[in-house]
Amino acid sequence: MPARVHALLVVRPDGRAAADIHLQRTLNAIRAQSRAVDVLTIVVCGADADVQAIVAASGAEGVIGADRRTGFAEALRLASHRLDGDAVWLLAHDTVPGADALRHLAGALETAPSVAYAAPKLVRADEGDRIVSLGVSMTTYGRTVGLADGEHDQGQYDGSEDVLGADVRGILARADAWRALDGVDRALAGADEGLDLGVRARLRGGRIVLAPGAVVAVPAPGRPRMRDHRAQRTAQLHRRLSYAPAPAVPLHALSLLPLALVRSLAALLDKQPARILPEWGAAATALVRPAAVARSRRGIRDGRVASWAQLEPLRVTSRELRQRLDDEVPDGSGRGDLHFFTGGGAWIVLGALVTAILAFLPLLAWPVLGGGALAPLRAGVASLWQDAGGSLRALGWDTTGPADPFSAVVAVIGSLSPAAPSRALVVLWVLALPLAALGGWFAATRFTDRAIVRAVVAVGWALAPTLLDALVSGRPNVLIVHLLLPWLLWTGVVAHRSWSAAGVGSIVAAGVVACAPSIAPVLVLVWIVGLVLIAVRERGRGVVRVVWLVVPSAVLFAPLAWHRVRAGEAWALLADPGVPLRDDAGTDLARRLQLALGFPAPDGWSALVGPDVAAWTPLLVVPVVLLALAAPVVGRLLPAAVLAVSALASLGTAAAAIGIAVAVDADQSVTLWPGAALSVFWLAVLCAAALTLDALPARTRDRAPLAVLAMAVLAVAAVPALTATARGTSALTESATSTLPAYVEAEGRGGLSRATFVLTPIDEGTVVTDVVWGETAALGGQTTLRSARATLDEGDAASAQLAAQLVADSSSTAVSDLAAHGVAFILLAQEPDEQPGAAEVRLQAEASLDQRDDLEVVGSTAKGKLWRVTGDVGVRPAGSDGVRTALVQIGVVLAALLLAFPTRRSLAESRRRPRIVALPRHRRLVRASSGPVGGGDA
Amino acid sequence: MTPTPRARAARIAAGAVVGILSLATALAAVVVPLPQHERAPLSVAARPPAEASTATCAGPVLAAGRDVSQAAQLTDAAALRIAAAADGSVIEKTSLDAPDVAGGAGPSLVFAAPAEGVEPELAAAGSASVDDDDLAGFAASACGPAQMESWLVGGSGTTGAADLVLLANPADVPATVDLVVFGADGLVEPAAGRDIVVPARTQRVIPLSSLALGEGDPVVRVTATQAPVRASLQTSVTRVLEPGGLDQVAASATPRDELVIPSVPIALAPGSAGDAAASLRLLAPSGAGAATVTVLDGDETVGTPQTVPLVAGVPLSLDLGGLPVGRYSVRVASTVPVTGAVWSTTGFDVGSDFAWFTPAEFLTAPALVAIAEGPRARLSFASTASAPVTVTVTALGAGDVREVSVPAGGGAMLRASAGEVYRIEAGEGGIQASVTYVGDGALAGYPVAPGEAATASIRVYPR
Repeated sequence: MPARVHALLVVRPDGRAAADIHLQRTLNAIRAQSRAVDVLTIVVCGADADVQAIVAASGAEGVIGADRRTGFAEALRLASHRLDGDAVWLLAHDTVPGADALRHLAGALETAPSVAYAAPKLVRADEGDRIVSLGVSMTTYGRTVGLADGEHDQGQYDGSEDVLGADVRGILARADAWRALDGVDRALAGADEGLDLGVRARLRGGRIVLAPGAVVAVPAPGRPRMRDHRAQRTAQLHRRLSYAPAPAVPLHALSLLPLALVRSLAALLDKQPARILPEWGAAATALVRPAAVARSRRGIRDGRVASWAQLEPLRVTSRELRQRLDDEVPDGSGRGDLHFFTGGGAWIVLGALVTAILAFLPLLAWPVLGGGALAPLRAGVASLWQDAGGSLRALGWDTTGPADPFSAVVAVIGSLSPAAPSRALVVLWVLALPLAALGGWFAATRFTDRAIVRAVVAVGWALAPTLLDALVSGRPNVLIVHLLLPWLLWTGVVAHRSWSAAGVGSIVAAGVVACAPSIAPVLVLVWIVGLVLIAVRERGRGVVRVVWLVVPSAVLFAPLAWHRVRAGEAWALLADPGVPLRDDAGTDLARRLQLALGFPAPDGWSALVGPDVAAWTPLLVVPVVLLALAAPVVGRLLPAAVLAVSALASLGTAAAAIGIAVAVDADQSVTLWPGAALSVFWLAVLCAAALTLDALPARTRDRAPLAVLAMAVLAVAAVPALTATARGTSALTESATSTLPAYVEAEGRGGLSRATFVLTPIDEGTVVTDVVWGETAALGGQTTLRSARATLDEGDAASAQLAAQLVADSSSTAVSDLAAHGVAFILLAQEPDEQPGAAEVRLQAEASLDQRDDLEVVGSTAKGKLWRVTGDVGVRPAGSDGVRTALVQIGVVLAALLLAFPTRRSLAESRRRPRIVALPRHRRLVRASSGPVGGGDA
Repeated sequence: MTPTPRARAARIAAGAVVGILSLATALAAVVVPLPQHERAPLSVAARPPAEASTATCAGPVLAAGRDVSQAAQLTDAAALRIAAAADGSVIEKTSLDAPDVAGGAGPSLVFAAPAEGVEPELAAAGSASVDDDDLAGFAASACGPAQMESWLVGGSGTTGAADLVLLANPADVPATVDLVVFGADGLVEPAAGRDIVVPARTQRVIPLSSLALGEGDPVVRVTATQAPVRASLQTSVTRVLEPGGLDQVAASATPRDELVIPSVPIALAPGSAGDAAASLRLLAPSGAGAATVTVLDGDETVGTPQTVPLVAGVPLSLDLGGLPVGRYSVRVASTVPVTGAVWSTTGFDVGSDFAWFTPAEFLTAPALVAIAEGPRARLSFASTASAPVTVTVTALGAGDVREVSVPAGGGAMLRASAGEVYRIEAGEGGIQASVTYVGDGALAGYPVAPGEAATASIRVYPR
């Protein structure tokens, strides 16, 4: 038995609660030891008065004051100077040793002189039979592995003895070994201290033994915080650099940053983004401390007698590791089966597909969609993405600035069909109805598990007035918003509890806002409501995940927003991206009442039944709206209230949008299109109706008739739109692959360095000029920098002057000026319904252009008469590339994608929660055990 | 854990409040008009570099069939006496070739070079009097710029008419002209009117009878390619071997919704002859609609406005008979773009004359007008403004300045000196003006065209 035991008690209140009580308990426990402590030295790190008083009354032989930020290792080192005894017992203020702890430890230390230290069994203070730590080892690559952490203490480890290391708290170290090892390595930042001490002791030929009979109660380990992650990783990297063979140290140092990157990506994939910052912090710390590494390496080298190979048996093998990590997530049964096939979801999607094929039959043969706000896509994937990035815009005399995020959406869609990107849009048009039905069905799973109610939402979403209008009038951005919105709902409402949902939701949100910036205020409002609910109901848990929902959108919009705000044109951020298309429906009361029923434009019945009857046909959807209005009374109040707020905000947005003009198309101002806002409105209405239908009492037997009625009225309301293509009244047309003549398309396919100057006479003495870079005015090449600019720029003045010269004067230098700027072609376009005054200007311009000797007639085409510049044509100067901005954006999107990517673990975790949101507790169990209920009320 | 009845009632009440509030807010959101944000379209008024101002005249009065052996041969019957002046620049004159006229002098081309980079204002007009056995009467017309598209309203393809379409190309490149005729059967594209090549600096003459034989009320659309042309019409009538009048008609207005003919002289008292002394020819080329025709004497409406239906592409003729002798303004308001002109005559016997009066364009900028030689020249103004307009008329030659007040929606008239050139300034409100001549067996008139400053500027919308 060691003659004298010197206990070192480190008191580090460090802001934690009740340090004085803990300390008092620990001191009492020390005093109550069956084998008494011979010397007690207390190191007090920045304690308050209460603690000081307790320390003063403790009767310790030595008290050392230290700074508040002093670490455990540093504090021990301060106390080691006065080490007086044969063994040193390391205690903290919150480690309460059992009465026999020291006796068992001393006994273990005594078994052999080679034992460097003996470690107690650390158990939870609040749960005495739960092991916190009993022995620590590491893998071949140096990762720390607790041998019994978190396990129930059933005496199963009481026989084990030799370990590689142990938690540093409560160990009893032989004084000579302690001195030789120079205590705990201070460079470890507070983690793995016992393991490192053990490794170094073993290299010096020492042994580490467990004394399971010695029990020390420690606080329960909380959820690891960022500082804990950082300490662990710092310690791991420091040990790696210290333990590695000398030649490998520089390689390890070089690998630190790449490894940090890889591990950050892995952390995202593992849905633990909180580990990323500590990762980089640890890597940086390890890089800037070569002196500490050298000191640690010196400490290992001096007096080393054992080889690393001798430690090998004590390491944890990967097979053992796999066994230990198995089934970390308990199987959950928070939800029943999805019942997509048996619940009729698949049949609805199939039905929508058949309907779509019948309704849009001619589209199947079209390579490119035209009409409305549609335009061809670029011919190649590279040029699609060129439109989405860079600083040179493809329209306008010399428009530079960030692209609309919508261009990136177009590029993503076009990239799905790399050989013929425009075809992707045609396919999207045909698949819109089934995709909407699918999205609607899944959105409904968040509110109900009754098949018939889900069917109402699926059918209602596929036959939504906004979707049908977007399909018939050719508005791709509204269509995409409509297809994305249910998925935003599906993921957004559970984002607080799953990183996977937050990741998917953040990407979908970015897509939605990119297509319709005008609904961003509504989405932000709903987002704020969500944040408040989480703060109140979940006490802030998961708030970071909900915050993440807006990050990709914000990052994607940041360059454009910065550009606009700097130019003092913040309003222009609201502009609908894509081809500007005028809203002809007016702002009168009738229009606004239509908006309140979800119709962004007249529903098309007037062509079938005449305007008098058609004034009333929007009322067909009233049953659905009434069901929605009943939701706060019949259904669950909280979701109904949130849906009501969303619906009202989006309806207000739609009503305001029709009066807000921020864009112009030549001589017409273009107001915001209310379609996207009405999609949000319609989603809220449908979900509220679903709440009502879901909550109808079982005995009333009204659910099925009401659901069928809702679907039936929507089907009738959809008739004009679904027959529009067959009747030839839709705005969709088959288009060529370019808005310019085929000759230009063939010449300009190379890139965006050559432009076509397009003159379109629209009235007497009035022309519209377009400068189109590349082979076509593409959908992705559209830019709100042009359509929503508030003032004319220098390029506008230059192109207007040149246009006037081209129209009226055949002797000027206009063509050589154009050529120097990069214009290779001049197109004199003819409007479809040309005014007589416009014909006069066109003929005059044609005569003037024909008389020029620096132009060569290519010919008359369907798009107008084309001339080619015969002289040397300049090349558009390259713009700033903006690579750094693009890299940040790509990085954020990649992070969101990694978060979104499902893993086995994330899927298992999500299965433990109910599919339906905001379900009252008493209904959760019922719902989980019973499957979905069909149309009846079984 | 089932909620207590009290909790259930409270919950339903809360739900009802939420529901009613939602409905009320939704209704308020759509019923209350929200503030609007406007953005005006962006445009630039661009002006091409100054070129020489040119005005092409109709050319000498032509006579057909004076050589008995060649019935179709055209010869000059009388030269035009031209009055011309430019503001701030010297005018020059040259003649175009007239290969279709045997020994023809060709039409005059008046031009003025730009001074200090500004296109000079130029006005020219010509008149001629003929008193031959086969052709008699007084003709006056304004000279003007060549155009890519022109509308000729006037003349006839019936027996007794010997009307000629005159196409002058003042440019240095040849022009190709297509003539289409709107008649009783709608639009006709006669073979004789297709691909007429008008060589550079040359006038071509096409008989109207070759385009619209038998057509009583033809309207000809002249479309030029490669170079603009100045199109005009010489119209004359012979009644039982006796000449019944003569006129030269320059191209009429491009179709628009409102036509104003500031001054139509009525020289024949009602009831003195069988036929009406005046009629309006009207054509809606592109669409059917209705037009309201109003006749004003000063600022007072004469009779009741007539509303007539318009058939797309078919000209109609509307009698304006029964008006006392005087000068009236005729206004047409239409639901579709129309073009037209008014015909008036001094009589139907030997020694009488007739003329076509074409609509005047709106003058918002100062404009020049030349007064050709002729009997009792008058400068007439018509206003469509709701407030009186004061027009300043400056004689460039004599230098005197006169002010005329034109009543709101009415007309006014001034005596003009033959051979003089006047500048007309109407201010912001704008005005329409024309020149008319009424003499013994002499009737003619032409509208005042806007100055170059008003036409040359092009409005460009950069997209």
